[in-house]
Amino acid sequence: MTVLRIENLHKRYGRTVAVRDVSLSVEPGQLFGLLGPNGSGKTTTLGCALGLLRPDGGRVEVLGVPSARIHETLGRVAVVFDAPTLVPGLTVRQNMAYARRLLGHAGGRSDDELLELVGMSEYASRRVGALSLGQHRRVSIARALVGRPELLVLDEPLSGLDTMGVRSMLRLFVALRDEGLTIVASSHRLHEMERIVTHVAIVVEGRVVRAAPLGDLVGPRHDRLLVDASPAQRAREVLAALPGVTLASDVARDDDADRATPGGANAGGARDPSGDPSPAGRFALRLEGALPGAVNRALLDAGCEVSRLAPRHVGLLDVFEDLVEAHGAKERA
Amino acid sequence: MTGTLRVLRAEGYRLARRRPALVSLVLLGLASASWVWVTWAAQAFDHARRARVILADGGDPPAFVPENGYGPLVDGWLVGLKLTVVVLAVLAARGLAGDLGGGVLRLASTRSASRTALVLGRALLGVPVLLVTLLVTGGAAWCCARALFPFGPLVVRGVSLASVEDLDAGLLQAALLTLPPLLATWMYGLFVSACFRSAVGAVSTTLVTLLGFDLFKGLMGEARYLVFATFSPSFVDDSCMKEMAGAARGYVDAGYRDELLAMNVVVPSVWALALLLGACAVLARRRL
Repeated sequence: MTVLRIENLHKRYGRTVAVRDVSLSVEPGQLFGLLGPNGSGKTTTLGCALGLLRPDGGRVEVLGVPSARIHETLGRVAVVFDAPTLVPGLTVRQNMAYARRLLGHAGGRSDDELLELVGMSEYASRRVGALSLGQHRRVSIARALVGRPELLVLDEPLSGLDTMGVRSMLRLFVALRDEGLTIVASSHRLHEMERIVTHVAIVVEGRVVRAAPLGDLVGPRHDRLLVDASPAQRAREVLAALPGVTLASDVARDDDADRATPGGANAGGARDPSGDPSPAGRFALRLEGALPGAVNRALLDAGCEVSRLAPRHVGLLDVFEDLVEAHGAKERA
Repeated sequence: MTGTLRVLRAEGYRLARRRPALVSLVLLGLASASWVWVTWAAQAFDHARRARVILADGGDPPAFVPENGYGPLVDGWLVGLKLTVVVLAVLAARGLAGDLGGGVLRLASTRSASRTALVLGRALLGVPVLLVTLLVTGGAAWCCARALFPFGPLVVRGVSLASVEDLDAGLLQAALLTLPPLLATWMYGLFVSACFRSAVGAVSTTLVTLLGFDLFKGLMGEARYLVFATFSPSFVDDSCMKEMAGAARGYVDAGYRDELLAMNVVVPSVWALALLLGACAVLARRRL
């Protein structure tokens, strides 16, 4: 059975259209990323899916139940919201006990096991007001897992967390996914989410512009090249003039984040320790008709030395940029 | 229904662990008992002052005999109930609004309870809260009054106006008649709470409107009896318990007319129901 099915969802706030014609489905066992920039409509989509907002159009079913009656799923859906939702004035353990009474769910992991799972055992007696944001979120996840949920919905689970917090949170999500829990997570942190999601829907301006398994979107692509050539200035000129080749706006951030510069060419090139500009440059290319061999030949003919020419790994951020660009062009048209 | 009971159970658990709520309960009891003690101390002080004058004149002062305990008991209880109205209003008003702003309502609404159940569970919580506060304030006043005052039939200038049984029955009736307006106050707080997203806004609006009505209800004449708050113990008090305080001291003009006794039950009950339905309707349309 499809865990979450959204069909032609529309939602507007006054004159502002927040979500337009969104359709997607989440199957059991997926770790589904609803990704997009802030204000793109992710939280509104989840709000409608969870019955917190009344859609203006479309249909939403969670575990076969219309979202307006989501409480009838009786604890099979667990939610962790972006904003803190723990009960202030109670301790961590009391919050768990409160949730257990409120949700009425017996069984599943015990409170101690859940706190252990999220690494918050030692804070069990602490009042939630004294917790950091990361700790707050961990406890929220523990509380969400009370009972036997089948679907865990996370709204911006990584926002506000430091690097270590993000890492441990990602590990936790993977562990939960490996246990068979279906997870839907909205986030604007594409780079981090890419490490864990199995399926992705990219949302731009209230529309799902692409929904696919992660493997269909990211990986080495033969129409993208990563080229190391010197001298950088000459190579840049050659590549810029080459028909069927576009210098990408951002250079291979995965393995060259420290050397990446906007503008296509690594304008300053790699720098040597003395601080002098190196003649070598790294270029991210998008091939629009040209073949890799033609690029290589053009550079060699111009007297450039090519030390690397390889298909470039395309990440979610690249996909996202392409989609935003295409979406913008479509809107303009 | 199970959703409502789950909410009731969880909110009861939460309330029982909130220090401010427990402290408020203790303070309500202390206020009632303190008022009784202050009444006794005032009488004792007055007697001592008169005894000193008699002794100065070479006379033999009479022994100190405090008044019949029913009057101070009702007065003390009434003080506790006046403060109870404030506490009930604050507790009810902060509930939904605070949870709406804090996101706690989202948790329940996505997992176990309908929006209606979220309101009904909190509304039902009002009943035990109300009974506990009534018992604590009454119990504290009774204990203190029993310790300090004699209890017996109401005798004024040698004329027996009421037996102990009559006084007990009157006190019980007054206490029971206090329940509908207090319940309506709880529902009013709940209704205002459903309209707000912050506890501060809901609590201040509830208190300001209740206090405003209390101060200006006199301007409404008989029409004030169409509003539930008229029957609640308050600072400008028109409540049944206030009338009982007068009756327990033998004031001839004290006591509700039969018509008002009926209105004391009907008006607050209708308000409570309407406010409850209103709170459900408002929350059903709110963005959680």
